Amino acid sequence: MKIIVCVKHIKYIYAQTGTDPKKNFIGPDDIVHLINPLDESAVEEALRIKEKHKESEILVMSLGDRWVEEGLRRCLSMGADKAIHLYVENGDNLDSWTTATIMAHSIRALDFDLIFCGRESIDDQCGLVGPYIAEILKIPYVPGIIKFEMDGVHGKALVHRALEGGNREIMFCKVPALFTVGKGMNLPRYPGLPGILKAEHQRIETLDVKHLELPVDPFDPASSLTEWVSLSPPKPRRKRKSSEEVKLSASDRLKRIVKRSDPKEKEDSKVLEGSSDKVFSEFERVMEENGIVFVK
Amino acid sequence: MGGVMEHVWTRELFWNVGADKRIIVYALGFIALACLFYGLYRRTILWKTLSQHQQSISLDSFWKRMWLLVVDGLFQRKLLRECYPGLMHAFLLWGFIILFLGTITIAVQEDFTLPMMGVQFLRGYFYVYYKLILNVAGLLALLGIMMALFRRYVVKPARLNTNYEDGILLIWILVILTTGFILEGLRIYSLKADWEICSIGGWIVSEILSKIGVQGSGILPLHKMVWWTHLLIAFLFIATIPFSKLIHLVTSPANIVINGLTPPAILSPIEGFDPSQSFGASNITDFTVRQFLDFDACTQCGRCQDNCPAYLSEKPLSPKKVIEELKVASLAAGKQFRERSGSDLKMREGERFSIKEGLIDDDVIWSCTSCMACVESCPVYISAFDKIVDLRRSRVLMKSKFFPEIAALFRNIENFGDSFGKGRAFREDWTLGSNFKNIAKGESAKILYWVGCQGTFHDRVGLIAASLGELFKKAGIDFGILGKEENCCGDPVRRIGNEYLFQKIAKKNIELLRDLHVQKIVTYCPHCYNTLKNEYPQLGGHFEVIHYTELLRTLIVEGKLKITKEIGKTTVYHDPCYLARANNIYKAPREILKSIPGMRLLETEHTKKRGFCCGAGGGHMWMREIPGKKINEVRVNELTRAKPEIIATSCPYCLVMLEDAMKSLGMENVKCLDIVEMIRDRV
Repeated sequence: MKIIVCVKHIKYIYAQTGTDPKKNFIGPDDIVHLINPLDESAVEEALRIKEKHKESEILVMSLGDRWVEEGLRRCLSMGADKAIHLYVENGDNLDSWTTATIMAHSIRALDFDLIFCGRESIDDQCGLVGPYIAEILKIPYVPGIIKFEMDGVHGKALVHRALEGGNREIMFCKVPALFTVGKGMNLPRYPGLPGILKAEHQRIETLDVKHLELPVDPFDPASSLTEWVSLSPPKPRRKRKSSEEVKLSASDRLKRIVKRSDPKEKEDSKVLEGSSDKVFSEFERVMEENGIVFVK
Repeated sequence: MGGVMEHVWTRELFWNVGADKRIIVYALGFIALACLFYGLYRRTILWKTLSQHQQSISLDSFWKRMWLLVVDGLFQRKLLRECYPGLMHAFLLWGFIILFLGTITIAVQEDFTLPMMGVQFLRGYFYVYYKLILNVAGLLALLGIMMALFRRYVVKPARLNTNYEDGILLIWILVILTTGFILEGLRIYSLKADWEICSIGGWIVSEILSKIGVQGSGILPLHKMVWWTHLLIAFLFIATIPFSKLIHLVTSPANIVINGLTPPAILSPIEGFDPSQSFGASNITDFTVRQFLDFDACTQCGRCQDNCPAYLSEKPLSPKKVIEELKVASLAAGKQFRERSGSDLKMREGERFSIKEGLIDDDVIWSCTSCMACVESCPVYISAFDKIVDLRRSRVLMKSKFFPEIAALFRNIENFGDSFGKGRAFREDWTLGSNFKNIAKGESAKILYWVGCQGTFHDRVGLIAASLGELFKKAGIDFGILGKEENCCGDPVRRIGNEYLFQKIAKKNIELLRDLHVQKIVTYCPHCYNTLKNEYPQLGGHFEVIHYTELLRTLIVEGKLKITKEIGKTTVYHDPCYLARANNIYKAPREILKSIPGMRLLETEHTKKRGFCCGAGGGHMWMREIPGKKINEVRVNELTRAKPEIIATSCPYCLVMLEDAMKSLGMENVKCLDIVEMIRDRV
């Protein structure tokens, strides 16, 4: 069985401790380079299929800049056989459709029985690249599977999908097909050392996207189906831990976190301060005085 | 002595047997020794051939090793920690050594001084004292063997498992000793040498014989028969040393010399990761010669088991059993190898004797908390610990078979650089409210304060780490932190067995420290201390590392920190394994505590180098609980027996574990504090 796994190597933002509001307060320490966890599950599923069908070959494919190589080598160390790196310099600006176009184009040239992707990535959470690839390649597709079996008798794949309330949808799907892996499918293996060492020297085929003959120019903004406008932080503003501002005392920082801004005194208002005991008894008194609470 | 003249005080050697038989005696002795040496030689060759991992055995600090041999081998220091078994073995050892020297003395006279110089010194007072000493020795040995038989077959302590080999060997020794005394007695009785009271044992036998009134011509032939029996079984004893448990007579002293100076807390690195290598111990051939020597030096005395916190908490691990299983497997592999190779003794290409799956259960291996109590308690310096880590390495590196939470730990360290998985961005949050110099940002300082992952990310421990920094500031120490550049030191990763990841992290850290020209480091966590001090040099990182307790003690002694306020509470100090046992730091923390006015310091049974682990080591902080009692609860129960008000410690892991145990046991009256917390408000 020839299996292709599409993997996204993401720059995961896990914190906002920067100081530049234009960068949405994301500093250089806030980014961690990871393979998307669901894509890792996809690789793991491919490996499990290979364990059952010994003649299988697994090819891992990823689009992005040079950081992607690290992710591909990790997949190789887990047990994948080959890796293709679709090199593009500023891949962050490509939307899902363009990404899918590029990947589908590269896959079309290859021979495959199954394609696995993660259902969605933890940074953009679009979940579109998989379905788009299936559409372009005109192959059937099942989203969010949590169990996979090849039914050799019928020449089809038997898959499970998780629905709400613990229900499961069980489906047959004709092969070749694309499946996106949902959460809870499996626990990706930690690569053994022989795998890691072998992967360090394995050859990764690198294809520069600029030199691919694509039906559309991925770098032409007009070819995108969507346009990215901006990223706005959530309202109300999330807690910000600014490690640059450690010169504030603990109470000042707590105030900022709890009140989210320095309290502005309105007219006819009073700000209660002090220890929580004092504040509460004061609050009680105020409620009583204003007839909101009756105490017998 | 009954009016007999001094010149008579001697004995005729080979009396009744005939001096002409000397040739036969020497011939038999020679054959026995030849068997002994041949057996040892064969064993050594077997180790060397089976071991695919070459490891050099260095004998540096030779005289220190000799000193260890004297103290632990001759004077049985570690064995004498326990009264009955210690004395039992010491009597046997000393008795036999003296008896052996006695035989040498006779040979010296008969083969050197008499024929060459005509000097016969075994006469007169010399002979009397000689005989006295030998008899006392013999009686001590006899007492020892009786104590041994009693212990093994009547007392039957739990840590000893007895099979027929043990019984045979004990009876054998008993027979050698008793026939010796019988011989002496028969001679004294026959010669009517009533003056020879100095030969106590023989004299007693002689008195018994005379009281019974034994007579007749049968005595001389009886003496001859017993004489030859005694000779043959003694020589047979020597000849079969390499083929039974008795090999420890050779391998145990050898182990003291070769492994006695190995620091317990250091693991040996894997040199050069070659993809065709087998990492860790999946096969018998993966063990080194030193480890085979360890197996052969073990006599299954069980002291390691008696001190293992996992075993004492009813977990499946018994270090004694691990060594035993591996020894049996090694001998079986050796037998297989010899059958296959005949006289060739060469390993075939790719031939491995794999350790049978399930020989040592996974639960057994993962129960270990890397506390090194087994190493400390072993009288002959066998380390069960490094074998367990080797088994772990084979599971982590080769088979990739371990708990998912461990995989999560590895991923966190790989991706985020710390064992919590919180990330670099939050690495300076513990300094909230304090203002420490940051060496990584270019501010220079004399000493680096390495905090460790616990001090950085754990809520409670982080406050302690910050307080410690403030104390340093108060005492005027010129120190700095690494801030965001600090990464995990790698200790849990190494103890779990992921040597590859450890070396990756460690090399990165060493490079960073070198680039920042760091020379002196003070650490908060004992695990970081041990790794930075003892294990980073293996990878090229040579730094001067001290633990904060040492520094605080120096500051207090020098008067830079004065503890003024009182404490008035009874405190018991829990020794962290990586401070006390691994690195001999147990006086400094106690001195700090004692310098607090009003301190009442208690000790428990398991203290200092014989301390009981808190249960967090070996990666257990992140691992599920292995079936059995909880180690930290067992320890807290012991610590609170004397009803202290405070349990003090100086390790973040111990602090967290002991506090957890106190909460789960519902102990309200006791507080668990770090030493820093006890002195920070009192300086």
